[in-house]
Amino acid sequence: MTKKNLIAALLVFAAALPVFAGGGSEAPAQDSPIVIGVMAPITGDNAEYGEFFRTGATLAVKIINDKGGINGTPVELLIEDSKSDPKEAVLIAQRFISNPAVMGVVGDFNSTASMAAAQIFSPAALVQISPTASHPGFTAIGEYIFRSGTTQVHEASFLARWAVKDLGRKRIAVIYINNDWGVVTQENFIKTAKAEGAEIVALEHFIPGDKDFTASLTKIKNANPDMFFVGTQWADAALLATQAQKLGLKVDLMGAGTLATDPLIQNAGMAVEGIRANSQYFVGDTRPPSKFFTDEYQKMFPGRRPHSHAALTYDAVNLLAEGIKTAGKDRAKIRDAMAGIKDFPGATGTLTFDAERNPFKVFAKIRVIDQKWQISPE
Amino acid sequence: MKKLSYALIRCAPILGALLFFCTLPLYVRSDYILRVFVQIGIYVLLTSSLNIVNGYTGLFSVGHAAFFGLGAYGSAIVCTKLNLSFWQGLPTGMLIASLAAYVIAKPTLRLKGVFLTLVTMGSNMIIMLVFLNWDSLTGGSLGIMGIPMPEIFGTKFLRPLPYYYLIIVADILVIVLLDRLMRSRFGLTLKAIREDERAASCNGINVARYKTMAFVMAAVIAGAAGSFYAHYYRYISPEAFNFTESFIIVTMLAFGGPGNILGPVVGAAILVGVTEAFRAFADYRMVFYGTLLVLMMIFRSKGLLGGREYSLTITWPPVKKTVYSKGDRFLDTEKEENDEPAAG
Amino acid sequence: MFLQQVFNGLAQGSTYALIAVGFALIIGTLRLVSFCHGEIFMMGAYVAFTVVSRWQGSLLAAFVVAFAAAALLGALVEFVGFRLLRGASRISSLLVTIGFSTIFLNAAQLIWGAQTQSFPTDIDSAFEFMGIRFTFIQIVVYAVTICMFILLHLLLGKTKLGRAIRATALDHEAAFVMGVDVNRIYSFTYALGSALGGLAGVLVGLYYNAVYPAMGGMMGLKAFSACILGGLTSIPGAVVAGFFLGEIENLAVAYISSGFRHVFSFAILIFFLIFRPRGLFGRKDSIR
Repeated sequence: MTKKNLIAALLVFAAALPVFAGGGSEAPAQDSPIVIGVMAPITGDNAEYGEFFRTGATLAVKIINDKGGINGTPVELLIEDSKSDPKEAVLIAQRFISNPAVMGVVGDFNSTASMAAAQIFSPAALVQISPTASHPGFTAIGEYIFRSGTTQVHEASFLARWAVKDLGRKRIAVIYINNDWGVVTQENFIKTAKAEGAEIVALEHFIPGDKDFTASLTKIKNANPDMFFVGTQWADAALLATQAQKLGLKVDLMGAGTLATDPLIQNAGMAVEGIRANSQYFVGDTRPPSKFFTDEYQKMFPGRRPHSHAALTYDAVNLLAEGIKTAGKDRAKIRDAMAGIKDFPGATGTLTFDAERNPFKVFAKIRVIDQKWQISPE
Repeated sequence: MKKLSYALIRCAPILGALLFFCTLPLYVRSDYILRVFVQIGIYVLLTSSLNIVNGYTGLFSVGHAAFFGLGAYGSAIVCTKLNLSFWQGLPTGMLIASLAAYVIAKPTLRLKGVFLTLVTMGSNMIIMLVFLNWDSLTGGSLGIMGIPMPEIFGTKFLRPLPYYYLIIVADILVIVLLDRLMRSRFGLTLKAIREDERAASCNGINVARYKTMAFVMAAVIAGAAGSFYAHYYRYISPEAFNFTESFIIVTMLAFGGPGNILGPVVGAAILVGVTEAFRAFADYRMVFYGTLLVLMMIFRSKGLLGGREYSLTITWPPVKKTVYSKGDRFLDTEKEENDEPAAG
Repeated sequence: MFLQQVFNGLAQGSTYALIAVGFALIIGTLRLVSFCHGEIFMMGAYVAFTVVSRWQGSLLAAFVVAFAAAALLGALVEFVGFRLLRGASRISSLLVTIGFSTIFLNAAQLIWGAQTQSFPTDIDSAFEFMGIRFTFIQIVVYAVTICMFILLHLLLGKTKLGRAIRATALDHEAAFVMGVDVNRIYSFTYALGSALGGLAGVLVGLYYNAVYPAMGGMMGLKAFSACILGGLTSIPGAVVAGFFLGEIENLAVAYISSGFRHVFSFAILIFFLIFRPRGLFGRKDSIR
């Protein structure tokens, strides 16, 4: 064997070693901690959002443990990186199921990974609660599948009624990101807006990764709308707003609750002044559970601003903890306990699960005024 | 009787592998490990099929995920819209993938080198965009959910175990068939094209035709992998089939050793294994993955098993080392090939 | 509206052109497709971002540092992927660039975080001229792009180094025989091509006011398309094709549908590959 071969062989051997070492799962002792699994895109294109999952869940667990754990048992987090990839998500799901200490799972971020994992969780009778998966069919996959965020059906219809019924806008332009989230948001917004009597004067979309919207925005400018609905996450919304401003498109903006975050304002500045959104949670939220979350988050992660995704993850962990508290360490009973949760005081609003295990919450109407998210006066 | 025992001995490595993998679930009682094996199995199919194009024919395609996706979508669409089963969806997916491969290959395979590479990448991108934009058929970005599980004699595939057996059988079948095929006249022709296209064509080989055949054959297998994927994960969306997926397949092949029948197996197993094993180092594992690829190329640019060809069968009875004249030897090998039993 | 759309396309096209030129330079000289060009582009943007936001540097300093950093990264990739792999097949070099693209992407995520960050600028005014809106940043984008093209043209056309690069691109063996240090030329060209890519990254970050780790992916692809359209190794070809792609995309969105943006650019790519693989400006012998 030449030297090069030897090095190559050693490399591969070193790389493969942990595969054979790991794998087995050991039975938990009686007083072992309660484990909550988190699956999130820690790396990959959605890593930005995975970070909110990590921080939100870590904070929730810290607070639970500071209060003495669940019924006296400490809680541990098991965070796994799914890269938003359904293939990885399925493997992680299987790991969680095989690990008897895991009492419930929070995740994943996007619908593709969440749904692939749900196909595994549901028949195996382990609760999965996704803070952000927005595919309408997600919770229908099985009895064990929950969401902590409201569906886009609620959110988009709420926004459409606000724009048309309350604000009296009649000519609405819509742009959305062509993924499951954007499509559902846009469909429900338009359906409700039309039912309320508004006209959709422009409908544009783009695929994830696009950053140049000037062509679409020029079209929208020519359609002369009196309200512009951006069905995107905040980073794209910031780009849309700045590019619209540069093109001289002066129109009132409106977007979904995911926009209610400070980086939007930092990135887009005056371009997003006056933008409206509904909110499950925003940094200036004054409701006591939300304020508590904001304060604790900033204490634990100094220099970082909380985001609604972090708050939704925080709530998801707390909902699971609530279920475990009532039911004890029994996966099936935890599901029943969770399905029965009513008026839960979460950081993202008071929450009740409906029969489909989707939460119902009351939204706040918020707006950027003086470069800060505030409760909207109208 | 003697013939049969010879045949058994010749196929011993294949039978051994079959025996090993079929009994594996008896010792490894973890569904997680089984699922890792299923994932490796899917990649073995994909990588082996790409091996026909990249390894044996010497082309460099980086758009293999397109055919993977076509197989998945083809199968998923007929199964959900027409209420068919996996066993009907599978051939549909393979058919659709092969048709698309034919349509793409026909005009583009006369391109060489970098151009072909880019055209395969471009067609991958376009096919993904079709999945994304043809809402009425593919569900657009919402994807297709509720894809039925495979069934056998009325038993549904609920746990990973039956999927494991299905993919193991498919893998071994494909590898054995490819092994036979690549040592047949067809395979030798492909290798001739790889070594020197001009010389091959001077010897009367219809290069374009053989390249197209290789391409379509690869697409059929990738389509089968896609169909399996769709019915295993039961939810598909366009993002799973973009060119990063193609890059993964290409990387696995390069890692294992293109042009070697076992290269794809080694590459897929190691790279899936590495990403799984380094799960604990979430943030760093992709950096590690990239570094591993770079180091591999520096120290062993042909991949782990590259530059060598293994045979899956044992020559039995052992050939006596007699000195033949060149002509005789040629005749002898010809005869031996005809004698060999069909494996698999 | 039409004029405005054409104008928008021009701005996008100039970033495509800049990144494609670097790419064409690399392909033309080294005969190697670099799959990490998009990631070097992203690294350029991040380095400039660091200079401006963390070190409070000026925009000019940001341009210079990003240019230099991208050149260094390019030289590194060239050394590992080309010099060390001299005897190996072209495919190994391609794979090394794929490996580096993974490394850069994830390293950027580790260093700067995965979130989108805004590029702080104080030059953010817009004015209207003949019914078309210009922004100051657009002007900067044009100015830098055009300056770079002129400098590159002068470098390749008028200097000894440029002549050596062209000779190596034409026939590296002959160039070697004539006393050109081919290895040095390879390193230099790769570094220069990468530096142009990095510069394009700064411009894009500035223009869209956003830097994020995944920003290179789609741009890398567009650079491929522009290069092929322009004739793969032709530098004027890459420039024209970059602008052309920018225009086509914008007009496709404006007059057909926003879903067709990428379908169009890749369909054109494939059309050209099939019917005119040497692109708009390529020499016949550039197809290898």
